Amino acid sequence: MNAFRKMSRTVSLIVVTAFLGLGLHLPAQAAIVGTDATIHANQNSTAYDLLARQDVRDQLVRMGVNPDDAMARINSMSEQEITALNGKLNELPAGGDLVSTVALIFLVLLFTDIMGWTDIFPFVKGKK
Amino acid sequence: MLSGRKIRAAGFAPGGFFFAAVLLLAGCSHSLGQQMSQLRATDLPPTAEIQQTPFFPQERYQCGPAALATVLTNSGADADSEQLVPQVYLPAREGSLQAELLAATRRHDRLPYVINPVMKDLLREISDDRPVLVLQNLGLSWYPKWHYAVVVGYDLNSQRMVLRSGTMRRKTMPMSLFDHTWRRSNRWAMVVTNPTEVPITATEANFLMTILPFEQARKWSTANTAYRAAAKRWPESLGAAMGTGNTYYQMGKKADAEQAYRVALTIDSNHAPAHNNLAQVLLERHRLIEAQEHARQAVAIGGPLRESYQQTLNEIEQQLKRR
Repeated sequence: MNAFRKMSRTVSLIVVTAFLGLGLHLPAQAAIVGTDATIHANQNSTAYDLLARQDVRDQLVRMGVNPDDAMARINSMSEQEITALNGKLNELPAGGDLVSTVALIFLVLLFTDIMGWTDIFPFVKGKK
Repeated sequence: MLSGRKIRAAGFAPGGFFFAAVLLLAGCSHSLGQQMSQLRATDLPPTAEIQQTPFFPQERYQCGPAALATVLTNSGADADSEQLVPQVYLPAREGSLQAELLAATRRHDRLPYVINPVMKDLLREISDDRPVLVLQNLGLSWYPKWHYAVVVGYDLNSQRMVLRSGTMRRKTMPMSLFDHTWRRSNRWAMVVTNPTEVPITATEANFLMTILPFEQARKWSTANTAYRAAAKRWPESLGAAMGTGNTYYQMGKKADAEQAYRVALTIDSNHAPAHNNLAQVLLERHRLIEAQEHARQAVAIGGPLRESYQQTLNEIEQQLKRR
């Protein structure tokens, strides 16, 4: 599985590079300067990782999103958003409202431990 | 290509500064009071409530889809919370990420504008009939309980906020409590607009940044509409004029693109990209002499993209020779 992922990554890298290479030989078709370059006179922007999009898609799928939905989701994200999300899906705030059951039980048991009614966690020295 | 870091710098630096300023002023307890006295001094109406804002009661964990459906529907988009679940809900997190709300808004051809992280701007948007989607942390910083809600009203006299939140159609809460929960998300809030409109608190730079992702996604027509709205709001905006021209160009409307680049040159006659892009459009419209003139100017002005300008000029001169 891991080997397959590695291989597919290599293949995509080759494909992407090939496409980029082709672009150089095309006649000056897209010779206009893009709006982003206009808004930011500074051209020293960090290179955007072309494979980050695929990575974020895989992360979404691993976190339970249907593969087709994940594709549609990353397609409407900007490069900056992809870069900001990549590898951080577990840390960024996720608005969801309800306290997860596991955390709630943990807190209740922690409280009861502290009060000296239970003795679940060895690190808690409850009231005598 | 622009980096995420730059966007952050542009978007959050004022927020960070504000946050630091708040901390410097008297701990945190008086922060809202300070803001409140400023608010009274402004021309904000003392109360406002957008009664007609729709309501989508939240299903388990799904305040993201519900809050987003509320602001999308309010902007005239066809959306409901159930349809948004596959677009923004992240099962492993039992919630939705901010970036996904922004992306899903764009899928509905609406602009997600993240407002300045200050109470004054939030209230200003409400008073302009635009509900504001906010991220709150209802828990503590070390035990976060992230929640999306939509602010639809406020009352400066009774110091209360009105929200569509969770399963409550009209939840009111004291402004100070609201601000405590909002501050823990660095006061993140967004409004959703039709691309023909510009939010009342929008700044030129941030609004243009909000349009760029549509270009990256090749949604030329939506981006074009938004750039034209920006040009109307900020007639001196070079970015809006260039964006209008570039999106017209991509849509194949070359005469309109030419017009927009000429507007850009009236704003700044020394803008090399405008000369270059105008030259390219003129080349494609077979007006080679004029094209050559503008390409030469672009090369003469130079800058980091000088090589591209030179390429445009070379192409024009080749075509001139072939004649």
